[in-house]
Amino acid sequence: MAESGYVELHCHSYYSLLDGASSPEALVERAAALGYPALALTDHNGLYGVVRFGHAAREHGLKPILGAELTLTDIGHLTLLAEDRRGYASLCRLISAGQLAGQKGQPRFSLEMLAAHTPGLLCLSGCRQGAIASALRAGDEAKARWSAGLLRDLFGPDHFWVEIQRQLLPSDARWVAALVDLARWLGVGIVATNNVHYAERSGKRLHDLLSCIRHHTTLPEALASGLLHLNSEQHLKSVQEMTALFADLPEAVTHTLDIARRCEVSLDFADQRLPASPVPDGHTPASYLRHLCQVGLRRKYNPVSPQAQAQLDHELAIIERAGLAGYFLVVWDIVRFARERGIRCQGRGSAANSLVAYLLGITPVDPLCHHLLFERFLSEGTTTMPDIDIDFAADRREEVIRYVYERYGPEHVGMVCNVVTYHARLALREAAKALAFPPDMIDRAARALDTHSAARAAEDLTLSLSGWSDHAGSPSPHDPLAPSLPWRTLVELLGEMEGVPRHLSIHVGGLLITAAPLVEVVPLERAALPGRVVVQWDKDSVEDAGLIKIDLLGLRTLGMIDEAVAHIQEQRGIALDLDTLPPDDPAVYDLLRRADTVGCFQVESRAQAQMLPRLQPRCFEDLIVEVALVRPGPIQGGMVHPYLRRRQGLEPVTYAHPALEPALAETLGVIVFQEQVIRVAMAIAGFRPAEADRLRRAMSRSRSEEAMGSLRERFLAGARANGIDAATAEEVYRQLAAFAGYGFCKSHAAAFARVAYQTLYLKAHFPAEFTCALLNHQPMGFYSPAVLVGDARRHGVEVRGPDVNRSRVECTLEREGPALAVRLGLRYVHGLGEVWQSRIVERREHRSFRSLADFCRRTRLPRPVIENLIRAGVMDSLGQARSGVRRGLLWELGGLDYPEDGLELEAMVEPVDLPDLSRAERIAWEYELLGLTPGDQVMSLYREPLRAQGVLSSSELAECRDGQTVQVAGWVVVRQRPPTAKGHVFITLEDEDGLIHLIARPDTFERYREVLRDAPLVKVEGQLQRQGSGVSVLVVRAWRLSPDHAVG
Amino acid sequence: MGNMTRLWPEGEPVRIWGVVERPEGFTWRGMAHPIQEVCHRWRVHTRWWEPDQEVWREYLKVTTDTGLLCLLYRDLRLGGWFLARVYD
Repeated sequence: MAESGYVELHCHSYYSLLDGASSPEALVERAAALGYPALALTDHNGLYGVVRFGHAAREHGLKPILGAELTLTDIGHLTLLAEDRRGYASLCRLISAGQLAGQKGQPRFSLEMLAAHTPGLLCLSGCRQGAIASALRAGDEAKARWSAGLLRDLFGPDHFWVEIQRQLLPSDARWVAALVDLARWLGVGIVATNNVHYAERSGKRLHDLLSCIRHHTTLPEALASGLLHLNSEQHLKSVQEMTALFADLPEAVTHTLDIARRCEVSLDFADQRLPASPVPDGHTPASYLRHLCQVGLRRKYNPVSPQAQAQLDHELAIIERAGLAGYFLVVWDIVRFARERGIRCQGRGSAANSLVAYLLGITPVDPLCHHLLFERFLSEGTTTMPDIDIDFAADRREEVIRYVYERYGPEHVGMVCNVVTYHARLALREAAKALAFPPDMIDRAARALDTHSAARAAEDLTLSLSGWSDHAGSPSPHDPLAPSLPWRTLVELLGEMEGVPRHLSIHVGGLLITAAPLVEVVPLERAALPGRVVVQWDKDSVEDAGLIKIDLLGLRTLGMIDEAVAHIQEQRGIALDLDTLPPDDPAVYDLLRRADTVGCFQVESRAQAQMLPRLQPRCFEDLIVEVALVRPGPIQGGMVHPYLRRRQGLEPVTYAHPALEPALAETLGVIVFQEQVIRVAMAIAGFRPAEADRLRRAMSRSRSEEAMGSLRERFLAGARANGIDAATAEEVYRQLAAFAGYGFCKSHAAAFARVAYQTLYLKAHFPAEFTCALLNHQPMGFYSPAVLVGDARRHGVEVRGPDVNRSRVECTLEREGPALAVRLGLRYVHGLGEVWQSRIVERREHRSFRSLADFCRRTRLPRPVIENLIRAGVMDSLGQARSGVRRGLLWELGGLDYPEDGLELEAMVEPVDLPDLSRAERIAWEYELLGLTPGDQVMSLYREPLRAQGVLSSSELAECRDGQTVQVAGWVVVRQRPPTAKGHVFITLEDEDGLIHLIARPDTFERYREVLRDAPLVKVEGQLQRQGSGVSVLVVRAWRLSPDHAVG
Repeated sequence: MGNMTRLWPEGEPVRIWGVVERPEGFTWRGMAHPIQEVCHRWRVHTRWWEPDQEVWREYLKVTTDTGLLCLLYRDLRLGGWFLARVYD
């Protein structure tokens, strides 16, 4: 009896990038429910989804068949399946070749490429757009025969099938008959496929929508142009349906089973993890790693404590058994290279829990001294690969990446891709456009969204919809919804768009290094950046395939620190070693307690500035907690207040069980760090480290309830065995679960806290050097250069405007007696391109510019640019008049005969004395052209009348008492509406003396929306709120300050 | 009348007999038309984005014992069989 069954061999997931509506998991689940023994994944021109697909298939007991549908320039679509590992390698090489031969997103596959990569591949002749079918449909039987014969000869008759599809289209009968005839004539088999584009029929809607997005059109237009599938048949169908559809051609169905049986590819690349690391003769990677660590141990610990030696031995044993010695050596080698080149770098993340990483110089914090936990990074028996992430001075990260390419060869190194999926706003915009919503309606709806998640956006819109139907069709004034549009359809589709990939980009720093040539492991393709290549897997796929990536990240702060240190050496002859600073400098903690942290890494944000005066950090451990705690997650999770209350002595330090004290004492009994979750699980439930880390991971990601349930049972059973009563165990478990989602890795916080400390130290002791370096590494951090300059000024650092004879491209320091001033660089002049900046510097190399005419003659800059330079004050030193310099120069420029390409210039005008600019004019010109003003802060223009009205300055505010009604005014430097704040809006103003933090309740914000959202200068009245030495103003009323209020 | 087609875009409702998915014949304007052969079968599913305009139909092109060549469809969304076209 013939075997019954069917396997879908032509199946697109949403990794076909806008030509597939279902996730690999959804396809696998559906196939499993239909009783398929196997399923193929054949996305367009890529293997983006194969790792996810493979995992899901194994979980459901399905055999995964890996393939792709390629678009060949000469002959159209073709379905390829990997029969074995060799075929998989062929497919990777072939896809890479085609992707690299074309443009990003537009690969070019030729027949020659195909011919060179057939070993191990099975070929199906493709869909209606395949070579054979399209020729037949065009009535060109000769071409169809030629193409089919070619493919049969390329792959061999045992590796080639004519693919037939019956999708209940009017033309089915005609072309299936022709294809069957052709197969018989060629002597090759036929095979049925359904060219699946969605798991179930209902996916047709999303598929249509994505097709419109792909073609930049709307649904009605796409329908009219024939771009949509005519019906909804391209889903996974039951075995009975497929058997019935091909009742007259049963072999087409049985061949799917034969093919499925032949395909056998495993995606386990553990043996390909890393290239062999070259070690000195007589060493293995493990012995060399041990040697390097022993040297490091003696250097960093003197004398070496038994505890340190024991920890090192413990870590090395686990690293060796996990086969990761080579990985550490690779990372060590990269860091060594960077240090030799003077590129500041340091490891971040969980790797900083490792003593080995510390001894190798990869991470900067001593894990013993900071009570860190190696098991958060790596533990015996763990199934996931550890991750070492390293930050490099951003301006020099490229050098490091180039080194890795050179060291291991371009065949073995690739950047990990980042799959950009739909977020709320983009999903809404593109879906609404496809649904032919009017553009202004799309804008309003998209702007009103507060969430990032497309699914949450769907929920929000649903809520608005239900609220709106209560009003019996009379939308409120702020309701963006218009009733005649298909809002419900939009909402449903938005929910389905969550997680759907839109395109690929480069992951910020993920570098994949493999032993086997990378092009046999995963296909490569072009990135948007010219010359850059990415692999077709994102970081999760790389990790799940058992490969190791190393994150080489760029951190501008590190480059900034390097520059500041260089300035200090140059200006003062001090060789400052920031890496050996004692961690207890009082000046640093003074800045922190005052929240005087503008420009400092990790501690400058408004949330930090509000929390610092309350937390009152006194030591480095406090700084670590600060970095870990004041983040959106913990704030949202309500972790901050329990800790704060205990720290302020408002609440006793208690533990649910005495066994928790060793793990939680450092944070007063509150769980703050991920390491503590592991320690608690070990202490209470007797979990092994790997198990405890599994619990932490399960809690921090949204895992299935089933998986969580079994872990919970084990936790409670373990606690029982430890003699802990059920109620206590439940309570501890509840606390862990509540905090795990927001907890922060302590080692990461410690590494970042060190950088924070270094920037604070620079700000406290070398403010001029600090400011100069900070300005040269913008954009970075929380504040604009204008705020940084204002802050520097308040710390006694003079910031001078750019000057045509003194400024270089970058900002520089100028010494005047003992004082240092910052001279702004030419890069700060808006509209002065890099070429012109360096031209100015080059042309004055041997001789300063003596006059405007001299400048014009030697630089040949366009007249409007020169005009802007004058207005911005960059040319002030060239003025010949005694007063009204900038007006005088503009006058002079007006009189210059300055032809585009003429050689000589004649100064036709005598210098004249014109009235000086008003302060208001000068400040306005500077804000316009520099984005900041080196001299007075803008509020000084308004101070006199404001003072008369009783408006306080930021320094006067500090003297006011809690609850007092005050009026303040300033220039808006930050506006935030964090999703965690339930509609509250946080605004920060700057005046001459400092920053003022405002809070506006949602109703207040609505009432004064026009002012609070758009006005650059505002005056508000409100209630002063005092928390410790931190002060903010709760807005009650707000006004726009207009220029005619200014005095100047 | 010559060679021409009668077309009803929305379809004329007909009563069918036999299994609902596989009609053996239909009654139209009081006359029974037993189906002789199904020549073609296809489906259309579109315009789901327009409220109440969604089209999801299975079309059958059939010949009848009464000598008609005609196009029937079944509304897969709301149910019911319709005569869409008679090729004279």
